[in-house]
Amino acid sequence: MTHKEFTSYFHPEFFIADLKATSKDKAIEEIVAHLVERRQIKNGTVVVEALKKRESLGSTGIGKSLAIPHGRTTVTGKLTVAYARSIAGISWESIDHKPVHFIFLILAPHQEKENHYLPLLGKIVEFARDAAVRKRLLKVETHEELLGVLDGAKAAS
Amino acid sequence: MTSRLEQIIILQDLDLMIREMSDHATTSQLRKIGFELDEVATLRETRADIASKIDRDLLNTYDRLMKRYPRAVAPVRSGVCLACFIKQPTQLSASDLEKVRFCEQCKRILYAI
Repeated sequence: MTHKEFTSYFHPEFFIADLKATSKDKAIEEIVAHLVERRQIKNGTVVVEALKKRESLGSTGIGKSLAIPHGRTTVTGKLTVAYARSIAGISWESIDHKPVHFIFLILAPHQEKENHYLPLLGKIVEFARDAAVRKRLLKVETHEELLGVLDGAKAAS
Repeated sequence: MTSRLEQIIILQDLDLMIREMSDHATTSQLRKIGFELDEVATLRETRADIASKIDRDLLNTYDRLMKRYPRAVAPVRSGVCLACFIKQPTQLSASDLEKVRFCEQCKRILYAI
């Protein structure tokens, strides 16, 4: 996956600068509701169920303030990424037991032509594991600034 | 309360998650990325619980379709079943979740995306 393809999945409408939720379940519900409001998906109930069932298999809080709830679902036609920042931090049963501040929620259809779902997951983890990137992410207030951090990380690698 | 169609889609998403998480190549890749994954046994228990709440006729139809096809529920866009690409005679609405409709051609359960 090229850097251009990677950044193309980050849409300004699916950017949440200040998530209000204070728990993992509520955070998932809030982000999914955001996607429903913006008509990216038509059925939030099904998506929330799929994401929570995926969490039951093992937390997607992979440490270093990062959570990547993800899943494939019948009700989406395309690979979708929503980014949300929680300033207060959310308990996500993470590997390192620390609160999560950066959430990348990924939805994929069961069948996608480009097969970008797993590469996208890998790319996000690679990107956000860099301490300097996370420091910059904490200050990000807009989608444009997020793209700036993504581009900066690419230039530094 | 979840509708009949939502119940069957939730079941399909879960069945396909169980299938995906039973695939060694996929789970290896996910673990390599950094995710910790338990065994799918708990998902199978959840599956039994969800299936028990779906009416028998619909569940039998779903199970039959899942034996025949990779997926029993097919998305519909602009009136076209995206599994067999046949235009449906009646328009489907994403908000109409109580009626379970079937593709005229392949007989899969339809969901408007």
